[in-house]
Amino acid sequence: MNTPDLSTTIGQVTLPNPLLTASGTFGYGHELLESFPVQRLGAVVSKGLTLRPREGNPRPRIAETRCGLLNSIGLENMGLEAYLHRVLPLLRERGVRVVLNVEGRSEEEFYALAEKVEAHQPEILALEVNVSCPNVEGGLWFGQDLGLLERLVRGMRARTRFPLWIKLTPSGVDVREEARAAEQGGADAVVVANTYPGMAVDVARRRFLLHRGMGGVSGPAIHPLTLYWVHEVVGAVGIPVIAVGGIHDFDSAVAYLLVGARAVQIGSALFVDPELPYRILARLPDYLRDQGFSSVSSLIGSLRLDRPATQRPQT
Amino acid sequence: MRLQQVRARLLHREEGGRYVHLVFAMEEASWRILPGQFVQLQVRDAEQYDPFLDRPFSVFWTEPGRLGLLVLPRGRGTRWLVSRDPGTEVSLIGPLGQPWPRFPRVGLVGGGSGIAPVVHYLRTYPDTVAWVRLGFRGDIPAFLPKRIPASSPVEFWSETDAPGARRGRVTDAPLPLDDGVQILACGPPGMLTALKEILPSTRYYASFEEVMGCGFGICMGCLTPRAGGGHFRTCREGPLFRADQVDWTRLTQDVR
Repeated sequence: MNTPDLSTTIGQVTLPNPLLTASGTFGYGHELLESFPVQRLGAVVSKGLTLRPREGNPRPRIAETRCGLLNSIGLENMGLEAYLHRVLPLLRERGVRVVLNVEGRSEEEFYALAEKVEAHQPEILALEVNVSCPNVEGGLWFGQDLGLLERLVRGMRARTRFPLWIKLTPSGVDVREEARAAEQGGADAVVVANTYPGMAVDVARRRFLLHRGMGGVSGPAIHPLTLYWVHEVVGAVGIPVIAVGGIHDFDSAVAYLLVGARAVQIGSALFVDPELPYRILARLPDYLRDQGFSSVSSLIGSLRLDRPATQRPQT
Repeated sequence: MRLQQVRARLLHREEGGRYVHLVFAMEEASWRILPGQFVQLQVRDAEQYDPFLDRPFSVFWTEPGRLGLLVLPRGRGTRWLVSRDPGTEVSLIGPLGQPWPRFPRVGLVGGGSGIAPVVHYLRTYPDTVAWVRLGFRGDIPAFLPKRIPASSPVEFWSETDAPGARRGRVTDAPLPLDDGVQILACGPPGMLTALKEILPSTRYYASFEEVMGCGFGICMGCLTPRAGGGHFRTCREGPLFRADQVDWTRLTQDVR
């Protein structure tokens, strides 16, 4: 039997395999170039970049929770311009495929980011648009205001030809509705989902564990929650869905592909197991062969509640 | 910096004072972990994910294929670690952080978990060390003198009556500053701040402990406030910083 085809397509973008890093969990992407074969990943998603550098939140920014953690980094980053000049060339010269994650504090900042990227024409695969951060536009969450979300995606679509992946919040009323709004606005894909808002308290000292009090929950604890939303969003929209949330081993990554995600992003597991994506990648061909699939594409979406159970494919 | 993720196997465990000394065998015998560097150690069974994060530990001593750590059991992770039986394997990531600089002449101060990097420095660069002051709460661990080179200029201090130790804190007697000595210190925040009050800030280097997400600069979770604004990543640019580069006010105020 031939070697299974691991490639996957997300709109116009073809990736050699479906394993990506999640924004904010792999630094700017160049930190571990000497330590791991980063160019073998499907792609690296950059840290969230803003128009101007941001210092982020005061410490403590990290608190461990059961089977996961809370973070409140506050979008610390060097700014889009510095990233394009200082980091992107280091990644490209090693053959690393890059998705740029951008985040605005207002509609205008999002549009300025899109225009700047369009002006630079950087060597990137796509723009991942983070609409799932709190306190944008007078306290609204983009992901919770569907009209605003659709308008924002449409506005970015008008300003750049790069593929737009919209990263959604799981804390909206219904992630399916968010995904439909993004699709209506002209998104090429949706990324499901960002962290869940959460808190942790030190009872002995009667204070919050994070300086800001609240933060985003990630890690194995959230995997079943996001798996449900990925399954639901795949059934709700026609554009590709990229899954992110709580991947911690081979099975938790493949589960997302089975319910229909075209690619997966590995997040906080990279903090404790930076080799994980390469181990998953190494095991994927054997799994596909054992299960009777000739490609990742044929595996994707083969386990769905809204379709009759698939027969074991003949090869 | 090239880091590696390897399996470390617990060979030996011994208790002394409030400390537990753990000796690990590492599959990578070629590692060189310099004084002041640390490793991230898994503190859970392989296929359980709680506690989720690894814990940072300064290296106490190294030999080819062997690694010694000094653990003060405090929370769920460290308590899990010190109750493992020999043979237990855990994931280890390292070497991490910047090594402490090798100066012509140094004074070393250690307290709490900060005993470990001070002893590693003393073992690695014994000829540069003018004096060492180690502070304890409780007894001096019996295993410690064996790990310190003979006739080293080491003073033990303890906040309780302990055999072989002077009673008090490491800052209770003047620290010798002659011969252009540079002072390197690692210990609890109170000790590092007390030293800052009595030492010239351009000759005093403090190594900070922080809660870390990753330990190698990709999560942006740990930080040390920088004098004049901004901050350093404690794990990547540190954990040792010269005192005049640190904003000591924000260092203590940030934490709510």
